[in-house]
Order: sequence, then C-alpha cells, then structure tokens
Amino acid sequence: MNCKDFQDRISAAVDRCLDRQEMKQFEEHACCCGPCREEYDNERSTKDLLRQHTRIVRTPADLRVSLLKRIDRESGFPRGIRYATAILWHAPALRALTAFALTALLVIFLVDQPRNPFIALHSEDAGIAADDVVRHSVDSYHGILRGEIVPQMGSGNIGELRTFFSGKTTFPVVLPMKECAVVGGSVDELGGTGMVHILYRVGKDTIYLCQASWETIQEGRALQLSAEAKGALVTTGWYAPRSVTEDAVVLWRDGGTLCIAVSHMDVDRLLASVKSGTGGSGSTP
Amino acid sequence: MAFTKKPERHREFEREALPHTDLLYNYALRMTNHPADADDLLQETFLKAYRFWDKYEPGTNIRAWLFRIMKNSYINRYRKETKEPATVDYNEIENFYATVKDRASNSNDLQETLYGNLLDDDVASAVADLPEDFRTVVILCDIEGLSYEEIAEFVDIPLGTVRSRLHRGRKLLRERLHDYAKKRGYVSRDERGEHSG
Repeated sequence: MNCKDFQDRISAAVDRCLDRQEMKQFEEHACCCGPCREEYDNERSTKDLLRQHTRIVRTPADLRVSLLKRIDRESGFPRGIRYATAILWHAPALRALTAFALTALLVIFLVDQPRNPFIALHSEDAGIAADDVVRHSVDSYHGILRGEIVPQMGSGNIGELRTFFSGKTTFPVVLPMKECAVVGGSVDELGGTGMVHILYRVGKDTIYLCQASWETIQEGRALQLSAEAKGALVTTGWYAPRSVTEDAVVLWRDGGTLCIAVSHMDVDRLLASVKSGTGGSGSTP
Repeated sequence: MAFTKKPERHREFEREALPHTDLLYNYALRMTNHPADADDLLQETFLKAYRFWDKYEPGTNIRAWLFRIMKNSYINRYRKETKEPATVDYNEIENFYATVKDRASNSNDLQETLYGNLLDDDVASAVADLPEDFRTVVILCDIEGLSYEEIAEFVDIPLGTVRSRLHRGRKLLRERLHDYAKKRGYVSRDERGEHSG
C-alpha cells in the first residue's frame, strides 16, 4: 500500500470499515511510514475528542409537545378545548378553580353524547378488538400531553386524591409517594374494565400512571397483555418492553393491581423511579 | 368536538415520523449550535414532513427522508452569506506531503495540551465553524454514530465521498481545535522552545 492509498483509507480505518485484508495492509504501511502513521493517530484522537465532548441529547419535552400541537393544528384537529385543558394540566392555580367547572362541562357532554365520552377518549376502536395494554397506555400518555384527556380531579394533594379514588374501583389504587407533585387523576372504564389514571411529577419529569385490576386485565376484555408481558409479570412481577418510540413503559403488579407507568425518559430511569416512588395500596375498594 | 377521531394520516405520521425526533434534534443542534434555532429548525422540518407526507414512499428509509427535509431547511435558512465553492476538490494527493510536513511538528501537542483542557463549548463551536458539507458528515458519523452507508444515503453522496469528507472534515476540525487551544494559552512544544531562555 502506498501513501496515497493509505490516506484514502484513514477515515475508514478509524471507523473500522476496512476489511481484514485491507486493514492488515493499512497497518503494515503505518508501521513503516512516520508521517502516515501520525495522520492516522491524529484522526483517531480527533474522533475520540469529539466523542468525549459531545453527547446525544433528548429532544426537550416542551419542544415535543409544541411539535405535536403544530401538527394537530396543521391537520385541522379541534383546538379550543384541547388548549384549555392543556393549560389545566400545567397551571396549578387554575386547577382547583376549574376542576369543578370542567366536571360540569363533562356532565353536559355525557348527556349529549350517545356513548360514554370517557370510553371515546380511550380509543375509537374500543369494542371492536381488545387493545394492547402497552400501546393503549402510550396513546393515553400522548393524549394527556396534548390536552385531549382531562383530569377529573386536579389536585396536588395526595390525601385528596386518595379520597377521590375511594370507593370508585374494584382494586386498590397505588399512589405516588409524598416527594412527587401530583398533577391530577381520573377514574373511568373501558369496556367494563375499570381504570385509574394519575399524572404526577418527579423533579422535572412527568410520569403517567395507569392502573387496572390484574384479574380483569387477565380476562382480556377491552385490554389485553402480550404473552411476553403476562409471563414476565407472573414470574417476576415486572415488565419493561423494548420501546420503539422515545417513551419508556414499565408494568408491574402491586397486589391485585396492575400498574403501567409511561414517561419520556430512559426505561432504566423510569424503572428506578417507580420502584422507589410508588407506595402500596392508597385506598381500599 | 374534543373527542372526534384523528385523521388516519395524522396517526400514521405520529407513528412513523415522530420517533426520529432525537436524531434530527441532535443534528439541528450541532449544525446551528444554537438551541432556539435548533427548535425552530426541528419544528419547521416536521411541519414540512407532515405537509408532504404523501411524498414519502412507505418502506423506504424514513430517517433519510426526514433528514433531507431538515438539511434543505437548514440550507435555506442558515447557510452563511460567505461564498462556499459549489464543489470542493477532494483529491489531496498534490497537497499530501506539504500537509503532512506542516502538521507533523504540531501533532503531538494535540494529545498533550488539548486532552482534558478543551471544553465542550470549544468543541461545539469548532464543529459549528466547519463548512457545511464537512460538518454534516462529521456530526452524523462521530456524534450520531451512523454508518457510512447510512450517511451516504442521507446526504445522497457516494461512499468514497463520505470517506474523503470525513477525513478532510476531521483534519479541519483538528486545526480549529488547535487554534482554540492556542487562544486559551496552551502553547505548542515548538513555541515553548522558542520562548525558553
């Protein structure tokens, strides 16, 4: 190999793209040619420097939300209520005041709609085929971020939340620990499956926690678990699927309750967060 | 009302295109070296992608498609006023010995003085200063870890060009980093030799 050929291959060698034969010839030349060897070392150290001093960042959450909103707008998706509810989720001061007003509004919708609006919120496909629990939870999470899904109870007080859930479910509700800032909660049902939704903050992260009765989910009526999920949950009590999007999903069993947490972060971090941050039964049925 | 069904196109787009925001955001951030500009660029890119969603051929490389939209948006918005040659001569054989002789004396101070002394900001600025063609391949390869084949597809250049742009881009980067180090007061061995008593 001569110097010209060597020079042409330096970056490929640095990135380990040369086949074995070529790499062998490359290294032989490097051994005997000082200037060429220096070029090669320099390029390797430059690449190392770049990797040391740069890192992949995650798209900031607020940017992702405004991205979704812009696309919504572009597709002519309804606006008004969505933005109002988006404000609700993010403005603690308004929450208490407007929670009642919203509930009243929702009651009006209930009267108008031929079917239960909470079911409609979940999935347009409800009743046709059982939806996968993981996908359903991720969809709900995004629906909340876009302001389509509304809290029935907008309170930062865990005690109030506990009272709110009391008597409304057939399963014990798992509540986040005191260090978390609760944004709101809802109870509804999907095809006969009672569900609890809680949105809370831990530091800068927002976590959506969805819960249902483990037994009811096993029946697979409106929601079902994949065989892999079921297997893991039965044996270890935990399941964290590989995600295709940038949201992490963690499932676990807490007594008779199946819990699903969704958040925009690494799955390991979410796992650690829910393991340390959620308590046992907060309210009895 | 608020509970109407979303258009199929919208859901499709969310499912296929939105998972790639991080890749594109990082590219935007590195190209502009300016978070607000990167935000704008990302939004503009996805908006355009949504508007032209029927132009995307299902099954083809969606990342490459999105990336090209972003690259074009970047070019239209941020390409500097200073004239850059439309094509660059990558054949360096004539310059080879001259280049190598030039840098041979300074090459070691890169390791000695720059390692551990450079700041992330310095590196980011140096990358941002690279001419666009070189900057793109360096970002995609060294920062985002794409393969040569992927880079070739994204940028729509032959594999050989990926190699040569990387080589030249990294060399230019090294020169800029050397300048940063000098500015910060880290002198090279040669200069130290000159000043000593």
